[in-house]
Amino acid sequence: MSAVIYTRPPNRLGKLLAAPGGRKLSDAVSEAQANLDSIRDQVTGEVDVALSRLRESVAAASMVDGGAEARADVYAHATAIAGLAGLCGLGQLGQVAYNLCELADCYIERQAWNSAAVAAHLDTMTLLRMAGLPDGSPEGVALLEGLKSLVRRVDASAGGPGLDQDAPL
Amino acid sequence: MSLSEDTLANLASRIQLKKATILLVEPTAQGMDVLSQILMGFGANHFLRASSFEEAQKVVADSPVDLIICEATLQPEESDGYDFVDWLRRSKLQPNAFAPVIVITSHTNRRNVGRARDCGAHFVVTKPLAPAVLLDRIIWIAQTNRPFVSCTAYVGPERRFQNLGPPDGNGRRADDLSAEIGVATDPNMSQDEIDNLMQPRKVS
Repeated sequence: MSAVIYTRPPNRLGKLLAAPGGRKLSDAVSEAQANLDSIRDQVTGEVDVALSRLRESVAAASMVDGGAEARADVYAHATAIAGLAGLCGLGQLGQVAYNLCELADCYIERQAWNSAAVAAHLDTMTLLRMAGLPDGSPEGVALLEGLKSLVRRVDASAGGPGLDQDAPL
Repeated sequence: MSLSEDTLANLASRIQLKKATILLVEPTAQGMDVLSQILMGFGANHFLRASSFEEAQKVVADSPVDLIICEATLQPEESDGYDFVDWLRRSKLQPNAFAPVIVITSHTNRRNVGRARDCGAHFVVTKPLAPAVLLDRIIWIAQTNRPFVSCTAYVGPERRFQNLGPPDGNGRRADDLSAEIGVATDPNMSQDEIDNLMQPRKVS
């Protein structure tokens, strides 16, 4: 049996964080949020760029000879959108992108691809972006629910859904 | 080095990141901007930045860091954030091999979260980043200061910090008892037998 060594390294971060002064936690959070709001337009622009790249990748992946690279690009662009959309008031669009991540990941893993299912996600994202529906709108919720059930069906035979929230390790 | 009660109380109400050196590993300019803005809001102002596995390796080899926030997906077809954390933990670089690491990712499927746990990260946080969540995780890491485990299969913070019992109520070892107690097989003990076992004494 191999040896297991336990060590307790110095808590440098704890010492720094607890030094006198600093910011109240509520102030720190609100300042961070204000900073994020100040770059909201740039983030929205980045989401639009990623959406346009996603459109190209979806088209390439749906070709008869659409290769693994185009499919990986679909996943990468969907991931980029999922990571940013919620920061600029496009939360529902981000959730659809996350759903597309699940779908593309599942297809890539199983070496399968359904262009119609992928295109449905892209169309929904385009619609949400154009219509400017507020987060939590009933139309958006219904669209998302339909797409989620699609992924659940695909996923049922391959592992299980992703984890919802940041998970302690 | 453990922190005193007063220090921990201060940590629960205020945060001081002014002197902390934070390494941000993020491949996109926009993602880097988002991270920087959040952490500047927390009061941090000393950042080291890397956009790839190799850049991150160089940074940790050259400078001590107090916190690392690392995107899971770096450059396509190259080593990713999980590989970087795994390399860092086994690098024996002092003090950086023990640095707290938060992995951030947009897609938290089970495979990715499992890789984050097994590479030696402290936490995985989902994008889009919520400042309150990120701050909460940073404070949690600082307050708990989990011990580090080093063995052939794993180097990183102790993973068994939650006692959830055996998975599905069934232990994996042959001598683990079942969660089902079942019906008693021996007769109940008499009062005399209990008294003999406990040896009760009168309190004067």
